[in-house]
Amino acid sequence: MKSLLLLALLLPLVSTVALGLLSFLRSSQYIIEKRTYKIVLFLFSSSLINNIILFFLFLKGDLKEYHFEIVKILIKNIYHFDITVYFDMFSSGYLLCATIITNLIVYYSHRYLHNDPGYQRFFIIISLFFFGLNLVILSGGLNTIFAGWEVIGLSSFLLISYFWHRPKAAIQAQVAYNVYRVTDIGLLASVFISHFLWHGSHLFVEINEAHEALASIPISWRWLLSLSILLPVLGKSAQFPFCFWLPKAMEGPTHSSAIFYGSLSIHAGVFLLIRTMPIWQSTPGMTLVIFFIGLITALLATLCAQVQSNIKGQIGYASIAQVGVMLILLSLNFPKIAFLHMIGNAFLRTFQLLVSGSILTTHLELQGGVKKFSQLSRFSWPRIFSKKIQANLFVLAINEGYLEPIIKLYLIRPIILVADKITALFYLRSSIGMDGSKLKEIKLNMQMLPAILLFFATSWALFLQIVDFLNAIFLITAILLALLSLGEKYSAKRSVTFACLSYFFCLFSTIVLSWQTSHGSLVYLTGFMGSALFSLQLIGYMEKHRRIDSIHNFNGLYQQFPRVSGLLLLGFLGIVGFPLCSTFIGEEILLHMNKHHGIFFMIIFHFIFMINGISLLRLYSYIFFGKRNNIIEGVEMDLSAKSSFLLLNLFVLINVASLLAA
Amino acid sequence: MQPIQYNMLDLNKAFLQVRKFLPVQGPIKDFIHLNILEKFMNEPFHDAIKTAGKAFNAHRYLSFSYYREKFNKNEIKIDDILYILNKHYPNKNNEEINILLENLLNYRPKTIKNENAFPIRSSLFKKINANLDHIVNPILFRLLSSYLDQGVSLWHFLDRSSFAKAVEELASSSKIPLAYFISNKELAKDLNENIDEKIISTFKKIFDSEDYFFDFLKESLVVHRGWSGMVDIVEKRKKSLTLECNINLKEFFLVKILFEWQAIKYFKKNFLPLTINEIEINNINNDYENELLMIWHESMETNYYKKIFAILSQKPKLEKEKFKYQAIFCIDDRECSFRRILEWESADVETFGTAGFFGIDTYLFSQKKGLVEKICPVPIEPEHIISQRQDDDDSYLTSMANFITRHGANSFLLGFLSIHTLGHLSLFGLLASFSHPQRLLFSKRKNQKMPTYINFIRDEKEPKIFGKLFGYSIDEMAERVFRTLNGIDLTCDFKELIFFIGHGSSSMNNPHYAAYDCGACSGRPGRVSARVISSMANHPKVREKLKEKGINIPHTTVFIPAYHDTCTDEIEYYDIDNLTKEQFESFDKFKNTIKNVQKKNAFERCKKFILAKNVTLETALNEVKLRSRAIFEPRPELGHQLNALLVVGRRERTYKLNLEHRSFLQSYNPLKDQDGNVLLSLLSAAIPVCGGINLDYFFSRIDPSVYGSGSKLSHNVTSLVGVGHGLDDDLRTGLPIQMSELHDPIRLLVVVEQEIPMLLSVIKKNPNVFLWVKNFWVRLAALDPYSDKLVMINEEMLA
Repeated sequence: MKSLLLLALLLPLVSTVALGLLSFLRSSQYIIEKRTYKIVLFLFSSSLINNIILFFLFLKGDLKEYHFEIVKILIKNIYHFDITVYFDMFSSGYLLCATIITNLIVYYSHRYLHNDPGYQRFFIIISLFFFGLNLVILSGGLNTIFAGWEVIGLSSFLLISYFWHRPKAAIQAQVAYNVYRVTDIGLLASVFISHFLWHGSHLFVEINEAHEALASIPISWRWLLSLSILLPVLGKSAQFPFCFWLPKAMEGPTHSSAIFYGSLSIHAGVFLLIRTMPIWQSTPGMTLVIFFIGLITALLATLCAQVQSNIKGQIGYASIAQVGVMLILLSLNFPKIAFLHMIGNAFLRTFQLLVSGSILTTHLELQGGVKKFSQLSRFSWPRIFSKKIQANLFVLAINEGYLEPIIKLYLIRPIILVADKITALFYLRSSIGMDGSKLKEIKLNMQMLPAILLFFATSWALFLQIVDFLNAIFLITAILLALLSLGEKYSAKRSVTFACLSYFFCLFSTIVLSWQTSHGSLVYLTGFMGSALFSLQLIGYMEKHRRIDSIHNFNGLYQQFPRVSGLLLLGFLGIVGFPLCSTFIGEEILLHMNKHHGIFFMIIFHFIFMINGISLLRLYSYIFFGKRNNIIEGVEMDLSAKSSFLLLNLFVLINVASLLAA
Repeated sequence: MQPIQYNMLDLNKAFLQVRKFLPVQGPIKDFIHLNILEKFMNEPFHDAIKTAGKAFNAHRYLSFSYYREKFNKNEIKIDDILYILNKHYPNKNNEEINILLENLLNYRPKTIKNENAFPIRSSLFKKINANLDHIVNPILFRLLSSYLDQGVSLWHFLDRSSFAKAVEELASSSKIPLAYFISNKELAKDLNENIDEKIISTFKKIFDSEDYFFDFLKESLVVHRGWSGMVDIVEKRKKSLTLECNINLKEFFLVKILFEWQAIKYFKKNFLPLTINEIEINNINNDYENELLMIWHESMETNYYKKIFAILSQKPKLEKEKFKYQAIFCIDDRECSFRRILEWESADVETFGTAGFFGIDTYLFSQKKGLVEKICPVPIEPEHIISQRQDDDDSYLTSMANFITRHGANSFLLGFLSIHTLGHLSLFGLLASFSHPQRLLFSKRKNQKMPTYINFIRDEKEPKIFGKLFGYSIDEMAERVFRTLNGIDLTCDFKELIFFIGHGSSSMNNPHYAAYDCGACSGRPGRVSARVISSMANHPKVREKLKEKGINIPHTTVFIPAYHDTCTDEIEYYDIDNLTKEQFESFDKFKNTIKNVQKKNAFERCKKFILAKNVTLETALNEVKLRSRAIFEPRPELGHQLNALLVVGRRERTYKLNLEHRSFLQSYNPLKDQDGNVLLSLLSAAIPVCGGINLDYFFSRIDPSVYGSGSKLSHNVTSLVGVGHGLDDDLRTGLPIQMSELHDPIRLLVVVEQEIPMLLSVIKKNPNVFLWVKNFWVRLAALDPYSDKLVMINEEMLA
């Protein structure tokens, strides 16, 4: 069983890596398709068989649950990093459902995506997604789930911007990724809080049996833990107040929208809640919070679905509403019904989205055509209200509950505004006008207020909490640098450099705290420095051939530099601490060693990682996506296959070496 | 520059002029192939491409690499290029020609598309430091698509009587702002005022001079061509939507400009009107590149035309006496290969080609659906209507399932229930759609359903329904049959069995399904027309009348309607109950021949698909059936791809000739048409229909993202009127990439078998058709009826 579980994780990973390597080679579309499909067919079919066997083994077996450790990295007995697997009823069911749907989509794609320039890219993304999802489903602890969570987020970003040349797709990809990144902080925080609370243990096996231990934790801490688990659920499953991004994310090919936003990715949040039930159920009042979030989402999303006049948006909102129902069921302690509901919803929405193209024919040909349908819409439930209330409801629904403007205005925009102002101050130039000469006074406006308050509050808290003055200075500098990186408008290199410098200052602040962190810091330092140098090199290479005028406008360089774009993505992921990169592990070690310095320290650390993540992925999408350039025909600008392969090796080497060094 | 004062009259004029830049495509359920640049047809072809290319920021021709690859494959020869160069630059000396040649092969173009397509708008965006398109369009599109919605949304709230009024009512009765940058009170007040005055006064708030009014109007509407065009079409033809909506372009623009004004105020508190100095217009000059491309393009066309000339000058042998059957097909290029293979397969069949509505100019009223559809070519405005009654063949269960998946599953409580029932069951639906796509419950489409009874004989009791004459009288029937038979020169030598074969196409999960159906039937299957014309021709009284007109149909002759599904290559026959035994035996023989033809035709078509290269003769039918029924196939059939030729002439000229799926074929006998009247009526229908198909594919192929509708993979059906990419997107007009990628954009070559003077005089009689020819939107060639001389009609001849 152990090896089967390992296979379930490894097969999609192998597929991703193999296809990723192949994508550096260039050949005719027909050969690419044939080769890709052969690999994918073999790996995914074996994964299907493997997972079906797993399911039946589980059905037959007496074991209720199964847990084991795959990897354990021990660093001088201070820190251990582990990847664990936990297999129970829920994982087996969800795994089977996910495997069936993904396999169907994969078979479907061969014909569906035939002759599309992104054929190979699509299969890389879908393999990556499947790997991430399997990681989430099979993960034995919160940190493994986090890894999977990030992988799903990344593949989602790549998939929304599948038609990279459309600015709308690129923008929606950014929005979705920002929501992910902001909410994922919660999951990372929960890993550390549980570290903090019960000494390194965040495994589900232990959580499930730790009722007494849980009960002994102070209520405020339990609340913090539960909320930080709830946050990523709201982001990934598009629950209130993050409902808006999901329907808009349906920019990719229809069938991939079906798998991500109709069926599988959207339910990952529900799955996480099922996994962490003991934690949030033991928190008084938490069930009520979940119940009401579910209820509000269900009502709001149903209302939005009622007025959507395009088929995909309607299905998307209907799906969100049903996830809200699942949250309600969970809060009422019916995990099994919620789970059944989830599986049913997954199949139904996949099917609905796949046949969404035939809505014209079903409408016109069946049941007496359009007129009868329009009569049916008279019976929709908002009609019970008076005309005035209806108008209000309609406006609310058509604006999707006003959630996007609110979140943008009060969560995302303040950060970006502050970043803009700081950058402007840094360069002594106007942040609004394009001309770099004038210095305008920085206006305090209402939108910036929360961010500034937060800034002062944190700095104040830092001064209080951590006596060490230097430490505080370093951390504040790090935040400022991260914001500079976000606000940088003209030079991609500078943006990366700022991000990098902010990590340096993070490192300094930990070194100031304790001199013992050298092992961790080595991993951390080599990790992000290696990736940063690697990325800077690539950006430099591109700028040799094409000027990048502004990094706050779309440049659309993907067409010229497909190979560079692949490598640069790796480089950026290396910098922002994507799970399993050495930066990530280094960061974990650093934090782990400094956990006694308290929660504020940790939050700021994560905040910097979040900002840098947003800033670099945004940079990536501005560089590569958003428009089609005039290609000068016959001029090859991209890296050659050989050199890109060498660079890839170099990158892997940096990461491995830094781990080994530790 | 002299400032232009915009008064009310000019405003109307501006709106009249701006319509030129809006697309011509109507709601997608009635997808009809039209010339995408139909509104530019007053200009010569290349000039029109240039004007449109500048206005829409579109490619004018394909890329250099495409043509150069063709050159390397020897599909464009050096002779062709030289011929075109001599034609266009008769005065240039050898050296200059050589430079041009060198550039054609090696020139590296820098700019093909303008980076900034909408200079005035982007100057405005720069000033307020926000992209209004990203801010205003989502809410504007949502309101408009809700307003026009034909049944996607479950709750339709906006009143369909006037768009501006609906928005005004919404603004005045809702406390919640329409969008985060909008103040409802102000909007309601503004919308209450006179539309014309409000447009101008709002414009004046944004710009300080009126010089740019027209350009701003043009840019504002063209930036989302799809929706603007839809508004334009609904304004002109209210009937084009099933649930009628009142909307006009002016009020749509008013709402847009008011929204934008509020957004401007929101993003820049003290906004001063934009002055002329702030408007940056940086037009790149890419005329030289496009001139080179034009030469390439014409060379490619020349190469193809030369090939056709060579093929058509062969002399096929055709012996009329041997024939035992006659089959009348649609003019459609997809029947071209079918007819050829039929002739290869059997020497017994004589084939004809004519427009697939077979002269039946009528609306069709489907009693069960309550739907009235036009089933004749678009330019014809029919006066008749016929009705069809359908047996209840979609089962109660299917209806229920559809109702629940549509209305139930997307609502709240019903959704909960349906997930626990249908949700889990849909797993089997999913599995079935992959393992047995041919048999899926949901793949049932209109084409599989046979209307059991068509009523087209005028009943004195109800002469009129829907304001149209119901059915046809005997005289009218005789006239239609006469015209059709006379047009294709089938006036004597009637064989025992004569088939009228209409065509259509069945495909699943395909919003563009209407584009595959019969173009001459307004994008509907040609089944009804074939059945009606056959019954008319079989009617004894009609035959008597025909005798008076000189067409003597022997009583042993039977007309049999049939229907060819061009996607699956299946053929259905109708109304065969009354055949005598001998006729039935003969019919069986014909059916067997056709079976082989189906196989071979499917096999030939499969070869064009890369993924179907491995099929054998036996599996070909299965493959095309799969393509038709599978929900995961974006390319159900070739469609009209590769079309490039229309031959109007006797079948002797093209009998058994392999024209590679490229040709529309219209039967016509020049020897019997002394005064050219028959030719006139044939060309009046054939050139706009075939030319429209040709140019729809042409432009969709040239620039799929502007003229075409981009990739089919992310299409999202919006309001049942069109498709967009993802949410809140503009409607995409034209054909998707998957439908046009195999097409070689070549202007239609119309070869007419007639003497040149006669042809020219006929062409000039119809100004509309003459426009096509004069401005070279199609190329015309005359095939001498008495020899093999084929002459291209050039400018001098037309002058």
